Amino acid sequence: MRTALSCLAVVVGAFLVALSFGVSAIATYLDPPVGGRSAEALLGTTLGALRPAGSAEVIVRYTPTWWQGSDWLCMMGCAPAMPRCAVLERVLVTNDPESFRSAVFAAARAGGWKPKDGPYPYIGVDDYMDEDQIAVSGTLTSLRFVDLDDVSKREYHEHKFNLQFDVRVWRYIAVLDTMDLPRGEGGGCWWRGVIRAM
Amino acid sequence: MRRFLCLLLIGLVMAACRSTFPGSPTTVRVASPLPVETVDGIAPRPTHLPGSIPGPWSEAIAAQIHANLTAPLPGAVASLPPSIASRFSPFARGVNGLICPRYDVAYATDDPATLVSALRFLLVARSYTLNLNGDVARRLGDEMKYGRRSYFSAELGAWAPERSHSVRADLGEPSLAQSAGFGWADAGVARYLIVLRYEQRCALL
Repeated sequence: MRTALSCLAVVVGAFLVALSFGVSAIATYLDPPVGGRSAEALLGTTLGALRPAGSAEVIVRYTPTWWQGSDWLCMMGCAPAMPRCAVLERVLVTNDPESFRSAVFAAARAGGWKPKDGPYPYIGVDDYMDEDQIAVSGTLTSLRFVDLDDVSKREYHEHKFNLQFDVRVWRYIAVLDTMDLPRGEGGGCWWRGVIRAM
Repeated sequence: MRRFLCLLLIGLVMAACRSTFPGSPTTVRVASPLPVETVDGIAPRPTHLPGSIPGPWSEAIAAQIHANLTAPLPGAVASLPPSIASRFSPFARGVNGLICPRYDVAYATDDPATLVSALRFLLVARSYTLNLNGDVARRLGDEMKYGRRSYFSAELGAWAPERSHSVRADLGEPSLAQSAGFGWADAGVARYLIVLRYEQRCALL
């Protein structure tokens, strides 16, 4: 009798857990605790629409705003939950990364960006500053180049983007990651305060 | 047993409430077929060494960049004195990674504050972004006050407008140039040596 009751309790417990998953998923779907600009909106920003001469866009990926919860079954010492704003990844092929970078900065300046507005990647070459970051149009955009002649890096990015780059014609890819900024910083990314407490 | 089950149940429900909603990227658009030679203005495929993004400077290119920066501005009062020496270090693969091209230009002066001010003026006028802005007068005053020697250290640092290269000005006593790696510049009887270093960002991986 006691064993039967224990088994029943386990089954009921499992059912309740499954139910809580379902309810949580439905509640999140109906009333998401986070939000931000859509892919189309980000594609319309200063650097989202940029395509310098001599380059070609090969793929655009979009990750909507989401939040990183604590670890599964984590009770103590876990990283706190935190929101992640939407990110638009654009990959373009180019043979002239210097002109490409100039075009990016020129567009950012035309969009109102000034270096003193930051962010501040003001580290010398020897300090391995490997990205350009520009805050403009309510986005934080990073720019980096990948040399397709470096086989390991090419294969990594081909796997990441599920693409084959035509290395006979193109030497470099430019990866433009445009992240939406929170509303208070001119972007459209938002989240409910309750998430921070969870 | 009952208490254990209750605790287990509570723990599972709490864990479910704290679960993660990972952001997963979705493809918005993809070029199909991938662009080949239908792109306007496509540059020929370069044949630089892997990692030397963008094309590494030659000495002529670096000298031209220096000339463009230091060309006198119309109407400007102060202009730079002639440089005393220059040195170019090409792109190379070092033990600890890539060595980006460098171009050093040395100036000898008895009035470093004026020279650094003139350099700062040119950098700002040519849309460089200052990221290091020392106070030469204060430094020299402190050194004189406390009787310290003027070791080489940076007084100015800046990024080119598109951040393709950085510029840095080091100031110190000529007698200490050898230990600072500037032994190739002979300042003669001048009291100070200023070395302007241009460094290309080559490895942007």
